[in-house]
Amino acid sequence: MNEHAEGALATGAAMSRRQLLIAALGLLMGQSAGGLRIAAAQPMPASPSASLLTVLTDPAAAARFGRAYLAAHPDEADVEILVGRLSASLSAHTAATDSAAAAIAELVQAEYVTEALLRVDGWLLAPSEARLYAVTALTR
Amino acid sequence: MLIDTRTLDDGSRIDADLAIIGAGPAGITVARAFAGSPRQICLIESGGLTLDAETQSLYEGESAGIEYPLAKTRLRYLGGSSNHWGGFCRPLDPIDFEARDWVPLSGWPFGREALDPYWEIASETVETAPARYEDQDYWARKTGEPMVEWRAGRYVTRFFQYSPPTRFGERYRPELAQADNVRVLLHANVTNIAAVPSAAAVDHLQVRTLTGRSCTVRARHYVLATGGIENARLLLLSNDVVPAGLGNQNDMVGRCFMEHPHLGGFADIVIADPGRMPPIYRDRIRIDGRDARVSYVPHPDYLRRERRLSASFTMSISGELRMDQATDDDRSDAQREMLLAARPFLTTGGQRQRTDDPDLAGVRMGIGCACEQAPNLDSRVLLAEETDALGLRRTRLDWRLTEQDRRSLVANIEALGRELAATGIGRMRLLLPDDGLWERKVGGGSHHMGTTRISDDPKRGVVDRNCRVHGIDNLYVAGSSVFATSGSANPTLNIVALAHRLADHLKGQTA
Repeated sequence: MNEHAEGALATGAAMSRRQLLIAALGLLMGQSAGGLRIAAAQPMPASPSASLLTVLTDPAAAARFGRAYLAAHPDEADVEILVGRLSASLSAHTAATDSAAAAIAELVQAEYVTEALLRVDGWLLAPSEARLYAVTALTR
Repeated sequence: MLIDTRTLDDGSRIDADLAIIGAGPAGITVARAFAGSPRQICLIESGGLTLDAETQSLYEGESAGIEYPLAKTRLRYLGGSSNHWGGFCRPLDPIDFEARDWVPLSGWPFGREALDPYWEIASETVETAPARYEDQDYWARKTGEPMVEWRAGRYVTRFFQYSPPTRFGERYRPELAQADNVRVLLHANVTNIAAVPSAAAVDHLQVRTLTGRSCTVRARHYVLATGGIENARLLLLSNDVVPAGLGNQNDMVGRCFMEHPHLGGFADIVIADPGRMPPIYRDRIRIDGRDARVSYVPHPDYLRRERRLSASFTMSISGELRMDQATDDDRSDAQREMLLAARPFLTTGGQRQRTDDPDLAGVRMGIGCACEQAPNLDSRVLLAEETDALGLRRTRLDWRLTEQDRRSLVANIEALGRELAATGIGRMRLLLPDDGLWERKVGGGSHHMGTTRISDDPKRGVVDRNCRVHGIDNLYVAGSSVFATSGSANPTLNIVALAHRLADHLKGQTA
């Protein structure tokens, strides 16, 4: 279960920026993950979550690379761990946007500048991008 | 005046102020600089006006290291290897001239600024002028497109300007033929650079034709301009006074042979929105009657920080990837799916800037590279035991690449992938292992460099900062054999710039 997402969603409009983004992550997973649909069914923050839904427009394609990531990082084959790491990265990143989707896109772009990149089935990916794909793989 | 040496009397003697051995881009450029001057110039060319097999076969030799097609990478007639030149022009980068503690034997005796006065005239010579190889504002104005601002700081945008390409023999033959003070000896093979007994100067050149005629050429100054392999070979062959070969008192002649290793198929690059990358970044475009395209070159700060060698990449669209078109080819499917997965990061709101085709997922890019090779004393030109039709020992080339060369290549490819992703343009799949091992077959660019390298220290080089052979008063070398390091830029423009600089120096010497 994703405690980060549930807790964030419960506080509604009074959420901090960090909570908002974490909630949005939970919502992302709630699109298709059985256990996470509860979270998605909660009252959702308006535009940030809606925009986040568009972050990964092709979950099937994303899952392909998510599975490859998980094969190389079996210790992360857990939604909670992945979301925890994604939320930590989001928290550490100063986004210049109020949109959760845009913030994640910004984070991914920023990691391409500063972070060690991963090779996922040969593809060079930013860590958070690979984890987003992995979340998709686990929740489809 | 063009002279067929086969028609001269046997034993003829020709006197000149300046004798230039080799009528390729370097030799012709030096000769042209003196055309119409009071100095008598003798330009000596092994071949004739067109390719002939017997002369060309003088280039045959042995490969001791990486297999190398010696005779296919050079042409031995008026104009030299410009006769099959691709026309890529770009100056060496300033960092190429620096002493870099991670690059063995690096550092030229001067910085790039010493050649800066010569880019324009060199560009006129190769018909690419104006010289705008590094001027992003110029190309933004000319194309009407903004240049890409790289966000990761790993790459810079440079520009190849394409020569037509200039075939030096064809293009400058009338000028050479009409110059009263220039004699071009055709079918004339220099078989020995004969030094005075002290070896402190060249006395004369021994010349022979394949038909058995001989002549001598005496001059006040001599320029050796026969290419990056033959320059070393001819010095090694000229061993009647110095057994190790002329200019080889420190065993440096022939060493540090460098190429620009070329590999294909080393990465998949996919781009969702070609609109994020102006055409000059992904194609050769025509501006004012000349072609140009972007050369992707590692940022010097990145090279210093990561202690890497340089490289140069070009990209072109090689195919389209459709939204719903799965294939039997897993590689293509992976490319398509990467575009679909990463689409939110590579488009604006899922939309491309310009498209009239909603089913287009994106494009795959073809990518080419030329890598800097670090100077390596063991990579060298030697003399084989077998002799050619003139009785001269053939070339034995021992071209070697190192783990450093290979790891730099992989790191630079990865840095390019990072840059494309950070700038929101595309994703890269690296297909090379980072094991430091080179493939058994590696191509080159027909770029022969480093075998008479430039250095103020005779123990580290063959020629000094004026391209004069250390210890020999009147012998100079022109061409890419003087390159101390190879950089990643194609040599010809740089050869021509250095030749103009040498001509300026010689004008002072011959006055």
